[in-house]
Amino acid sequence: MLGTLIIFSALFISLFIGTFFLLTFLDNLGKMHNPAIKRYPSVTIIIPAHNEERGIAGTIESALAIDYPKDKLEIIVVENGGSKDRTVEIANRYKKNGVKVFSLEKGGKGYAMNYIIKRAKGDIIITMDADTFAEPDVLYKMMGYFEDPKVMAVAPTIKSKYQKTLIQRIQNVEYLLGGFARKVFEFLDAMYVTPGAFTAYRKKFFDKFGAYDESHITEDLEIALRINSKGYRLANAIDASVYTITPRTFRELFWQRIRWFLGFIDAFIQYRRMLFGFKHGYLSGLVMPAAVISIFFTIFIAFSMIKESLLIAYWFLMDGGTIGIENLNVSVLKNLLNLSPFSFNFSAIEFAGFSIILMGLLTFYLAKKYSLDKSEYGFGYLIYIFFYIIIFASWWVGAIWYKLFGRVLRFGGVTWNNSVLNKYRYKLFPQN
Amino acid sequence: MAKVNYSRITAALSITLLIFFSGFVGGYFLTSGKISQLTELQNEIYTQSLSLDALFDLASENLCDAEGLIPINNQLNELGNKLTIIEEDTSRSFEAQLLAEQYVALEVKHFLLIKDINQECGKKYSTILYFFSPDRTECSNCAAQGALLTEVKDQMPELMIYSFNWNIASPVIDRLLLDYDVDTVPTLVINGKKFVGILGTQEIINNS
Repeated sequence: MLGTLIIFSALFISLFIGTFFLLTFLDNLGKMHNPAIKRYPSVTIIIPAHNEERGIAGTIESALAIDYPKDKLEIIVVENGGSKDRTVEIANRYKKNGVKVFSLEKGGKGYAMNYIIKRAKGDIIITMDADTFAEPDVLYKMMGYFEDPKVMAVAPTIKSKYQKTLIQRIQNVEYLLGGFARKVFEFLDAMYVTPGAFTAYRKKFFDKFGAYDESHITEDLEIALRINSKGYRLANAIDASVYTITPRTFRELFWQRIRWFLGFIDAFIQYRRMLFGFKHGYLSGLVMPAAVISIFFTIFIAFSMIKESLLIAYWFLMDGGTIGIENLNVSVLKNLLNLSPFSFNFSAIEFAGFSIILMGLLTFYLAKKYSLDKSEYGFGYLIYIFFYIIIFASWWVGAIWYKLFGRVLRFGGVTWNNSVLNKYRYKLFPQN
Repeated sequence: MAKVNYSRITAALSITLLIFFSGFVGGYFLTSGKISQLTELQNEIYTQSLSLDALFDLASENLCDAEGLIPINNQLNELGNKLTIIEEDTSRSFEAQLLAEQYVALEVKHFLLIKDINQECGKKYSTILYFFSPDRTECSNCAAQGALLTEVKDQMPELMIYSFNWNIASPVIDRLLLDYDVDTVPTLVINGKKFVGILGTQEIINNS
């Protein structure tokens, strides 16, 4: 009974919020074009790299190929944490093209960014990951948003560079929907996240409100929240395309998401005061509460889905065992499944679930259309969505587990030891 | 900060409510359709049984071929299966209970007619009374036994199977449970002989 009630409210809230987001997007179709650039701002692209010999050349070349007045574009590669491979050597080859190369002892993306931001010439700072490739027109599409003096950050749509494995294809769908969500959040002035792989920031913001928080494992999330907290805006150029090399396996992806979600939890705790209530408009009144509630609903729905499928499988096997091999044949199995059309039934819950799937398809269609995605998708994607719920829930269960009981995790150059367990351990045993 | 757009919020809320409302109404009408379909089937069986009964009373020897009784038993089995599905919908338990009670009475009527024919005409129609519960926690083997009985019926159409959900509140069911001393499910009564627990296809065929 309680389970039914939770599913009922989960569906109701999801349907309401989903419809609201969709209506917001459709209401603003007229504002979809990117604003024109009146005066080209100077831009510094910073590429932090740590052991990136495989992707760095392609990234630098794609940055060099960006179509923008050359005197306004500065490209800086910053190797951080003492790479053991040929990252610096490869980057140095592009010095003749005007690329600047720095090498730092200390690790961490935040540290590297702060080091360069102090030395950068551009009014706009772009952070670009070393496994990321931009389309040449990306700055033309993004820079116009900075004509609005309140805009402090502009994001493009990230896409998966390769779609070789199932995991990568799912991520591409996810990224497109992420771009769609950011556009909706922009219209609501509630964009609380920017993609770490490629985002443009106004340098003035760093000068005025401090640099990257070097202790954060997801620095970009912290900055996005900080921009919101100071009353400034973020924007998303949905048709500006940037490609990134996405994790290829479940395992790689799991650890990437553990980092993202732990970063989300930490940033969320840090900014908790502005994230609920009506002080920050849609951000605190709708978008953040929805983001948090959706985590718990997804976990609950994933658990129910697993439980139901296991139960059905269990009874099917039990019945098979009871019937015995000697009696088992196709027609008996058919009787057992009892798939008559008469047993088809639906009610508000099924209908709402079906509507959510349809809404998801419409959202995906719009996301694909407006972010100019050319990938081919078959109906198999409907099955991916089903599995995605379970994968997504498992990341959150993992992240919540590490937040509560984790010891020390290392992500790139940053150490994370911010778990509840550690907090009390250090309090009780300060000598450790 | 974007201004809160109350008309858009109202629109989204209305669409959500409309979808939920449609789901409720649609589900209600779907079940209503199923119930009227069952009522129709029930009426058909009832009419046919009544005519056969009357014919038997008028001139029992005319009925000794008993051909008409086999399709009625098939229809009864179909009705029984569908009733079990309807009974899962708790919101319509009153209608389902009424249909189930009539169904049990029709089954017994048919069963007695076959008994009479066997006696008066020297026929040997086998009968199986199958006591079950659709509730998994009460009877973990009933789904399997049901599938096996359907299989046997497909192989031997002249076999008369009567299934009784022992949870149906009906004086007829109470009487049968008492008469055959049934205290666990599944229980099968094949030609008057009681078998407790699940039976395989071959065992059923051998005993009937």
